Amino acid sequence: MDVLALGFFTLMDPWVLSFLFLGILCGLIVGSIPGLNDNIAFAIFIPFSFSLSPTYALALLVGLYCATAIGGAIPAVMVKVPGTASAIITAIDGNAMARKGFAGRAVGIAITSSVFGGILSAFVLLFFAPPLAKFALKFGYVENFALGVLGMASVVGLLGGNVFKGLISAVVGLLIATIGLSLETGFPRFTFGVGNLYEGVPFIPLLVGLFGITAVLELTEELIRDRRKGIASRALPRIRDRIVPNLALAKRLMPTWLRCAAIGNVIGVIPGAGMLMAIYLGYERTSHVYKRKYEGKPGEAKWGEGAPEGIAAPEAANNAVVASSMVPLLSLGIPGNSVSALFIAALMIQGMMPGPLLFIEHPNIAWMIITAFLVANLAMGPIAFGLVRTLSGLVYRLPKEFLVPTIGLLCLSGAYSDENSIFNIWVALISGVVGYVFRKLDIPHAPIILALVLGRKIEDNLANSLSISQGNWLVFIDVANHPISFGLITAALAFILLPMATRLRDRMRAARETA
Amino acid sequence: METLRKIDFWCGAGFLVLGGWVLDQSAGFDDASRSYPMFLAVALCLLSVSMMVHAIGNRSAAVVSAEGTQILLLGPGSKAFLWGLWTMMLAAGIGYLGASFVVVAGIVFLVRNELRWRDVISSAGIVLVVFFMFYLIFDVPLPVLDFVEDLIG
Repeated sequence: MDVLALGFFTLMDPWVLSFLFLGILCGLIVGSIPGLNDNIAFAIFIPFSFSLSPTYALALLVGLYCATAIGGAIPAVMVKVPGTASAIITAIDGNAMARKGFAGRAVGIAITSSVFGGILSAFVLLFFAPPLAKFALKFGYVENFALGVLGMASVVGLLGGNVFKGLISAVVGLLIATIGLSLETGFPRFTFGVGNLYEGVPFIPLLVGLFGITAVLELTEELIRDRRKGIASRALPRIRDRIVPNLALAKRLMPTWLRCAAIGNVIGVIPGAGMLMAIYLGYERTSHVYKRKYEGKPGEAKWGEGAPEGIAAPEAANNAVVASSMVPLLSLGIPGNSVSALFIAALMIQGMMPGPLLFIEHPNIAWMIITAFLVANLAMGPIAFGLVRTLSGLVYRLPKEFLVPTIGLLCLSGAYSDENSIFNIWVALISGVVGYVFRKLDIPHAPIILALVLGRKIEDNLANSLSISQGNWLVFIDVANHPISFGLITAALAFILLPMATRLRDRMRAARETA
Repeated sequence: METLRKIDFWCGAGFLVLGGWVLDQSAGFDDASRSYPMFLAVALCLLSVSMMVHAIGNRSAAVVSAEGTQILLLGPGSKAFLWGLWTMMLAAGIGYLGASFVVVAGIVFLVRNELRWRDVISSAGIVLVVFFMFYLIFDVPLPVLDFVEDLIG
């Protein structure tokens, strides 16, 4: 309880609180601009956090992380262009409702659902991260290696689709992490005599490139494609009705909020599972309930054509992932998704390492982050309701032609500011181009990012584990001496093999049906 | 993610070459430092071959249109080139303000297909705002020409 109070008092510093609100404001604005997302926002803001004290910087990033997901729903509802990937599904029912003249109602449902999901996930973070971190303190080299393997396996396994591409992405990330002086002997690996690479590829520019520059290149492609198609401008909806949902609607949506927030929280704590999986699962589950309970009744829209639950489900699920994705990051040092991986960069800039030791070495910071998620989610509702009319106007006014070079300039200048080096700009630029090529080839980004974060730790723990066991590789599945490691490795295998087995079974079933 | 396509064959081939190169390079490291990257290189080679084998079995060839290629070259391709040029200009000591203005205006022109006076002024405005944000607020010593440094003090 004392530590919780410590975190709360740290957050209550007027400047820390101001940075939290600034983060919320920036997050809402960034999220409201189609094409911009939480990744870009982080790529721009992380280099800024250099010049801020740890509490200010992390409060800013928490606010940003929480608010971008809400902001993304606004253009999704107004123009059917999701501001962030997390609002893809919201666009379906949200825009349909807005076009029927209930834009305010649609935006209101999106905001309240997001706030509900966010608050619930903040409690999950509050109650689960500290005990998990306490448990993780018992881990030695063997368990930490197994944990790293589990983190990588869960990301690859949960991507769905092509596991090979996910694995290749992970291996490439692990290889990039080997660049620099060897941890064992100090032998330079893949450095080619370039001094800047001796300590490894600079992490911040690498992330800025993979997130920011990749997104900028995609945005440019989208702009040119739209210009060529000459996308016709059509009448767009405006908010003219009541925004805040009434009590009856809130009561009706409560089961959807609870169901989808629960799905989002469970998925959020699994490393690498990501927001989209939670959104799709929540939406799919809710569709069955809606079709059974409401569809066909007088005054009720068809599913996908403006159903309130169709907006509430994805929004409650996506915000439930936000804080819960910080559970594995704060307690184990493994990011829950790619955006929370950027928190690692932010903590590293401030000279801290996420993981169980954070709660011992910097308890004020660890608990401040947790309480900041709670306060951010509580404050977000009133702020979003107050700004929604202004923010929805942004969708119509912003010239994207200027957005593209501005984001590029901010990202690359940010990459430079890490060590004030031109070399870092090259790193950001090259990783941005590589990230873009990976997107074109359908190679997922999440495994490479996690591999970059965990690569050195995995190698270090592997070397030390083998050293203490005299080169015995079976040490990781030694049930008698390392039961936790055995459990983690088994779970890792399940993450990789189960999707493969499911796909094989489906294929065999399809072949049987065809025959 | 989509299913494997023909383009994945060439993608797999590329990763196979990368894996082979890493394996070759790793062989030159000392004993303690080589095993981990070698293990990863072998894994990459095996995965690449698996990807290629699957791609051969998949008949849904990706269609590459001339328009798509043109968009890639005009959009992301030219933009990446311009940012590369910006970095080279900074390295050559052209200075942040001049280099950034050329590139930002260039990108606006590429995206719009025209460059009006308003665009030129807006480009200069963007560069100045970003510059002052980094240089004055965040105290980042951006590479500027001497006279600009003297001017700002």
